[in-house]
Amino acid sequence: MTPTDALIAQLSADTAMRPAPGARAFAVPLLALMFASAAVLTLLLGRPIMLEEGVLIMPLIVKWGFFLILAWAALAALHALAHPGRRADLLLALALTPLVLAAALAAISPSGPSDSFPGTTWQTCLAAISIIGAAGFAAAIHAARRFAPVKLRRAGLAAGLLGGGLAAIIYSPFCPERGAAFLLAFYVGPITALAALGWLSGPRLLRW
Amino acid sequence: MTGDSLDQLMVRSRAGDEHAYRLFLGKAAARLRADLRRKVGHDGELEDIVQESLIAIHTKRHTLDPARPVGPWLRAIGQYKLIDHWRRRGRNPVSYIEADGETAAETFAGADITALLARLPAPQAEAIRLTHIEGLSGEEASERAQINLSAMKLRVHRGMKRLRQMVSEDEQ
Repeated sequence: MTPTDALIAQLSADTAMRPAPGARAFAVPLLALMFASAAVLTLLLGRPIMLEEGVLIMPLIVKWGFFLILAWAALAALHALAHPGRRADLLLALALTPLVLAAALAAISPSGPSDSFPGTTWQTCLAAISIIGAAGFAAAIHAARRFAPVKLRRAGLAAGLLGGGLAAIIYSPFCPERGAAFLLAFYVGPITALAALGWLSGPRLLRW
Repeated sequence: MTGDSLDQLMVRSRAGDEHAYRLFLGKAAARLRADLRRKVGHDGELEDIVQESLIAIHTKRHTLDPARPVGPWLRAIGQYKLIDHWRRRGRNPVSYIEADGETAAETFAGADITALLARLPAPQAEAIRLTHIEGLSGEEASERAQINLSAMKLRVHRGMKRLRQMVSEDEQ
């Protein structure tokens, strides 16, 4: 009997199989994180500025449009990448599209005298996106590890985009800023940093 | 089609059929071996990667969606374990000291190793003596012989190859 045959005999004696982790493995920690961070932001910053009267709702819709697409595509990509043999390149490209669009928007939009960049709340925004994003990234990595990711850099990238995207969705209602340059610097910036962190650390964090 | 038989065996394995699971792992091993052989020259190294893949398949089989085919899943895990293996040992294709060590234990059991080593070129004999008889690591051995690590690995590899040839020639 070769060592491989011996291994097969040993492994096949153990037919008990654990239950499969379903989509809930992602949904539960990420939703919990979103609710918890929304609660903490409300405690720290007061109720979302978007609920105040007379505040334009359009900037929020634009932000949510960007980041809902980003987070959904990143989640779908990460879920696919958590399963060996599935492709996720198109989903990853879709998740990156809002970042590219935001950059393009900032490049073409004229900065009027009323747009005072970087505004008064940029530090809060940067801190919120970075901290909630990092927590979301950690939750996404933890969930992906319950599966069997084999493309670790891509999965790390998707986890970084997902964490950052969720953070942006949560923080947007608290954010009074509406310039394209602000969106690029204080939303897209930290999200891109988290994505890069995921790309670089994926092989270490997701290895099994 | 082999893919179909793997899928069917996986269905029966999920139901707790030990015999089916054993057949599945056997077929999976053969499939992995065929996939990876082109990329891994050394037989001992190939078997190591096949074994690592089998353990991975066993550990993670509950995450495979029953509605999806086993073939692409299996192949992706094999590729992953190959890359993981390369990442761990560096990309030097002649650095496979451990596999040579196993071969040494199996092939040269009972042979007069001192006499065999005397027939090797001195640098190769020294490399094998340091790594396999004194039990030094590749790094320690290369320091002792004052050559770099790749050269040490190459000497061990060539020496082991020559030793295997000598043993099989002597047996004939």
